[in-house]
Amino acid sequence: MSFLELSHVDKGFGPAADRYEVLDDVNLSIDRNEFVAVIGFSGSGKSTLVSLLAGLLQPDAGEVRMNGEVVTEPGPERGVVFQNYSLLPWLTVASNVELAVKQVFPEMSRTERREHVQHFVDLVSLSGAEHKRPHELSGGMRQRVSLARTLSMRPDLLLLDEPLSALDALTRATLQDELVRLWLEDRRTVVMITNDVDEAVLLADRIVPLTPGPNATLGPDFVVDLERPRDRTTLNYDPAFVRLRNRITNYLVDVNAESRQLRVDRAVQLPDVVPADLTTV
Amino acid sequence: MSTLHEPRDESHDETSSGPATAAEASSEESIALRFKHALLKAIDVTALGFLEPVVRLCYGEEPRVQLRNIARLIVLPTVAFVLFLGVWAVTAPNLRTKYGALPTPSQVWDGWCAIMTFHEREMEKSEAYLAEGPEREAIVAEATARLQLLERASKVANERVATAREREQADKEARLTPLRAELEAFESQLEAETEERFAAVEAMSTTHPADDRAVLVRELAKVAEWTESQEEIVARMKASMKEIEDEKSPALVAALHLQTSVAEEKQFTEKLIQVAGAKSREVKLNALVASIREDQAAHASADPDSAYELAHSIAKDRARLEDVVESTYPRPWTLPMQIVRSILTVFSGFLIGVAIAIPLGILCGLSSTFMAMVTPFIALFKPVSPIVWLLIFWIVVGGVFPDPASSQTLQVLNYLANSVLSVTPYVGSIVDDIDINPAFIASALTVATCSLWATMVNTALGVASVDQDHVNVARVLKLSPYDRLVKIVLPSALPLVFAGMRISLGIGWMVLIAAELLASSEGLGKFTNDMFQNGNTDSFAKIMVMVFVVGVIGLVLDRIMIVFQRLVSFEGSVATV
Ligand SMILES: Nc1ncnc2c1ncn2[C@@H]1O[C@H](COP(=O)(O)OP(=O)(O)OP(=O)(O)O)[C@@H](O)[C@H]1O
Ligand SMILES: [Mg+2]
Repeated sequence: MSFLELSHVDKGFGPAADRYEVLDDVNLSIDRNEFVAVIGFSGSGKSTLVSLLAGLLQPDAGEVRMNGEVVTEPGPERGVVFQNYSLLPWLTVASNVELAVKQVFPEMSRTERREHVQHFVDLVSLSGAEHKRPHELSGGMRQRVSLARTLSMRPDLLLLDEPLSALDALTRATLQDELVRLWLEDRRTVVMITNDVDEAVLLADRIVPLTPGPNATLGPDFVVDLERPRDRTTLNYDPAFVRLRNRITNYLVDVNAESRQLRVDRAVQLPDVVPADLTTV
Repeated sequence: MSTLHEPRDESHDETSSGPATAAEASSEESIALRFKHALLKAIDVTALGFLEPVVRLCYGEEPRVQLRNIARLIVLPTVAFVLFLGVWAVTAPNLRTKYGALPTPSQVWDGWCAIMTFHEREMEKSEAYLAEGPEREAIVAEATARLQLLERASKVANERVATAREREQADKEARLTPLRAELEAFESQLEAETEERFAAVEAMSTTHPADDRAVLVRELAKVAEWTESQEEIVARMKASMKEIEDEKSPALVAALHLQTSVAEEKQFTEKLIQVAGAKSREVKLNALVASIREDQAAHASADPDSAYELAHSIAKDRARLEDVVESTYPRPWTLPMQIVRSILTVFSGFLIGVAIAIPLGILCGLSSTFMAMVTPFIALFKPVSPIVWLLIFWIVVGGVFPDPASSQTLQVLNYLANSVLSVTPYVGSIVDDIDINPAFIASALTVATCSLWATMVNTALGVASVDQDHVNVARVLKLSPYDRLVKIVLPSALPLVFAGMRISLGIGWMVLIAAELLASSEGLGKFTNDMFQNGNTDSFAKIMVMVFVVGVIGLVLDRIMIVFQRLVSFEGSVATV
């Protein structure tokens, strides 16, 4: 039995008459301590998938199981880094993190708690910005606060919804390395949503593509058997890396073209009418 | 600011000012810069945006832009206001009403000065009443000396009025005499001519052929028309003479003004001498003590018959002594006192309203079922006029306190309010007894009822529109319902709650004046009504003073609420200087 399992999960939105089916028959099983990257196009249902895993949404059909138990509600053991950061704007960086720490580790003393918070703030290199409020931070800084908040909860399962998308290439690289380091340090299960193939290959043990919506489902797995630690500078010259990246990219391009094809087929046939030129009348 | 949401020990606000920490060198310039940032922030929080260009100009920042902004934000509004005063000053004397012409700005200003003089004199008298020993004697001596001066001044003023009157009379006579002569001449000529015309028509009746009778009627009508036109001329001449008679020369007006002000001051000084002298607390006390001593001495050696009488009188004097010790000068309500009372009333009502509106608003925001239940009440009660509420509360409060003088609740309320006010700086010296009575309570409840809706609706809106993402955070953290409310829902609703409270306070202030007027509860409303009722020459001006007093206080209250609102709004411009 795997650590985390989705079996035949369907999810749609809207009233029954006009239902928009986002996910259709999604199956996925993840082992303990595995790092899985889900890659997909915008609007395909990646965030919906994260919400299902977190327990924020309940599937219409099928089940989400963690440790064999059906997930019915969210909880701190499944930490989420939300795509839009979801920081509380009236709290400072430190207080945002502290809110989570206080709730998850109520037994901590005040000094312990403060150290714990500081540790995670430092971890995402936000030392010095502890007393700023979210609106005083850049998008990337906010994402890092969100990451620090979630990491500080020490969840069993870490759900990252495009956690690095708002960062510039340099910061992004640093944080990617940081993420890997953290993960290697105390291996915990990670599901990361991304739209960057390189990032997925660099970080994950396994990559699962999500087909374009509606009725998105998971495509075939790509196992990343590159050795760790992976060095981003040399990786580009590793033929295995290049091959894998090309395979995934090609798959995504194909699946996207296919879905376009489908969409065109379904398009309404327009009547063949030419507008009259009124200027010559 | 963070103390609103988090315990104090976690906030290190003093270290958080961004740009300054970078320049740890703390040179003179960085201190100046930090001060500038603090200033700009303060201006921003208090929404006094028009000061911003001034500060920036002082720091030499883009002088041309700042000057343009100063022109736009300070000079032009000032010019507009001055223009308004000018138009007012020019048009007011021409707008005649039953109560005289509309007061000009300067008359309104005089009204304000008169109101404040009255207040200051009353304050002086009440101080004089309580003064003791050499201080009291000094007051009497000074007042007596002043009285002599005033007597002389009063004589001068009277003379000046007399001469001004005479001169005016002579001047008017000089202008009227030729007019009168002209009128007389015109009238006598008119009489003669009228007779002449009638005679001519009469003559026609004999010379004219009988078949053309209509011509006579026509001629008579012509004469009548002519007479009418002549009479109009007479009326016009009389009117212009009347105008001259009614004229008041500026000299006479000034003299009369001086005369009344001297007379008023004289009256005040006389009263002051009394209050600080024979009628002062100290003199009364001394008299009583002396009388008690005397009685006691007599009592020691009195025969049984008169002993009872003496003991009785001693006991009575002792009781009076206690009363006198605690007595103060019975000061009438003056404007500053009424302002304090109005503000107290509006805040009492406002706080009652808020205490009802916020919990209900939160419930409405949390539960759409509850909201649906409450909506009809909001829709029904919100448009009801404050007057109706006041009358209802008047009756209800009257029923609750059938005998206000002996009500213990009112005594406790009065005691609390007076203790708080007496330690408030400035206010403490103005108000001795705020006099919380049923009228006060009815006015406050009216304010509460009329103002609570805005807070309630906005609180409900704020609570209901909590960001779903924040709710998700709470769900992932498994916050208890209470924590969810306190840590997520309320902080995010707070800006709207305060926006609602600001509207409420504005409505409350507007309602209050009407309520006080109707309930004749001491305050600005009652002051206005008293001015209207007593119909002095300057009453109209004093009523106009109230426009500005009420307006300025309302503006200040609004500013205070803006500051609160900005302090709790997290994404507003507060921190982005
Ligand atoms: N609460 C909702 N109600 C209705 N439709 C929704 C809701 N949430 C998501 N959807 C729809 O589901 C689809 C998938 O949304 P989702 O946010 O999961 O996409 P995504 O893959 O995360 O996209 P992106 O990469 O842009 O973040 C979208 O078409 C969206 O319109
Ligand atoms: Mg998404």
